[in-house]
Amino acid sequence: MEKRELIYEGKAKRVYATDQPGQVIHEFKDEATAFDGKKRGVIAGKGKVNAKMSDIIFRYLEKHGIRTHHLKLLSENELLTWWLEMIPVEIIVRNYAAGSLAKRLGYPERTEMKAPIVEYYYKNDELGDPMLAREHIRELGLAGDEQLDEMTSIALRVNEILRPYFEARGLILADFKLEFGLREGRLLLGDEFSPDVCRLWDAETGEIMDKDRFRRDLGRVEETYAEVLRRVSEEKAGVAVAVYVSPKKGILDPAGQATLGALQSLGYDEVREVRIGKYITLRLEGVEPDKAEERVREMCERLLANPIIEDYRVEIE
Amino acid sequence: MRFGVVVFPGSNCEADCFYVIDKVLREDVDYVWHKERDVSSYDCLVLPGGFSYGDYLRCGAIARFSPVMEAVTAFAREGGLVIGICNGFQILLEAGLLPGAMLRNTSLHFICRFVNLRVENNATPWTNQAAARQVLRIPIAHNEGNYVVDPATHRRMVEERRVILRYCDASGEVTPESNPNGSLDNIAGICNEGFNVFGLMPHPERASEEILGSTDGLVIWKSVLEHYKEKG
Repeated sequence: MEKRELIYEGKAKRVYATDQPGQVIHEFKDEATAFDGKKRGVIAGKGKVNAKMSDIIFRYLEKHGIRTHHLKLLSENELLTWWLEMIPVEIIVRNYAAGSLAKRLGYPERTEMKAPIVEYYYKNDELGDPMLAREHIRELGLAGDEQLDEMTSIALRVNEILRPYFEARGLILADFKLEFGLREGRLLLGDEFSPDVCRLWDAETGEIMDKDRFRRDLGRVEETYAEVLRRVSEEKAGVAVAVYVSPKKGILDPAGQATLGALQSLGYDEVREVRIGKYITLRLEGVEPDKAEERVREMCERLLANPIIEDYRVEIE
Repeated sequence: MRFGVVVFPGSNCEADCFYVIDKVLREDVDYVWHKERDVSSYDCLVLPGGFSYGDYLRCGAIARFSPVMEAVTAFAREGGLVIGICNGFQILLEAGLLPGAMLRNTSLHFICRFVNLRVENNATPWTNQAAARQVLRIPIAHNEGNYVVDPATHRRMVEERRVILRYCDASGEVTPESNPNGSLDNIAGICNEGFNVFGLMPHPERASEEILGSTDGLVIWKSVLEHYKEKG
């Protein structure tokens, strides 16, 4: 992979062409800006955190059926992606009131929304990225109605996927920004996913864990970015559970009987009993192992086994 | 009288039940989709046969968590008439509206044929048009009709005359040979304590017209109509 000419330089990234058709390199910078560029600074190590975190989040989203521009992490601050013809509309999904939404609705900061709120902003530095209604988007011809619907539904789906993901890592996903683009006519999620483009709060302490630390001069900015990356990098393999469901003692097992007969007719006279049951594997996420057993037992009682005719055994791995 | 035929994804006898109620009995009938939460406008609910939710996990195990089953349960608890046929019977068992459970047929075969059934109690909403110990000829079609229940419950059900139908031979004798699936005590149909909920493996809707080879299924349908007329 050969890095070629610079195609675009934004506030936080440089995009380079490559020798591969349709593929570009995003180089993440440590520079930070806020309030439409009025506040400027450097967050040491931010480029690496954002590249690595985007790599992890995009791969996780891909695994859950979201199509993104992501290809792979090239170096500690470079991502290889598809080149997208970007749609100049930023989509914001908000689960809690914070920043401009708290002001606009007159809500106290951190009020939870009854349902996630989707907002659209015009990606235009000269105009200061103003908020848009659907009709404005139509008027400006920024995106078609169907395209906007698709972007909105993907954004809500991303929210459904990432809220529990961050929750399992002790973080509340208060809001986030997405950008979309087209590759060969297909809509793909682009840009990045990092503390630069979302609000994260520590679920226990309520501490701010995103770019607001920089915006509001809260200090420990670098440490916070590193901590978010640490939590996101943590392998949450979940809890693997095996459930064995077998016919209760004394309950006739016709399939076991037939198999016993077959084994004996093959000359395996030592076989005295065959019981045929079910082996079910489950993978749980966001549950502590000791709580997992209790939950799975409940699942067995309610659905996985019929206690009238079946016994079950739960193994937490 | 107004019937509701509950339709789960995978039900396949709902049209037969609907047809018999509509065209043979000439009573009002609607399909009730499994997402429905209000069944209050019906006088009798029919849970038809089929393979609800592909019979995954266990027959009836997933269907019993359908939204409509909450309404069916409330309806039954208030004394509403509910009949579960074949897979419908299995769903009623899984839902706990009737006691016991179903195992696979001892033969491990799916059995589809006419059987003889002895009416063990003809003083129920479902059998009041049958003579005492009348033998009904009605087909079965199932893979899991091997009924089991714990001995104490079984004893109580027999005492309370809640075993309604038993597999028997043509002369009405309940014999091991006439048991098609290994069912405990040759049980083919049972009622709950209030006799308003009835589950049976045979398909009365498949034996309700001469052309089908038997009209004995009508005994059951006409009993419900009679019960409704008497009790309002």
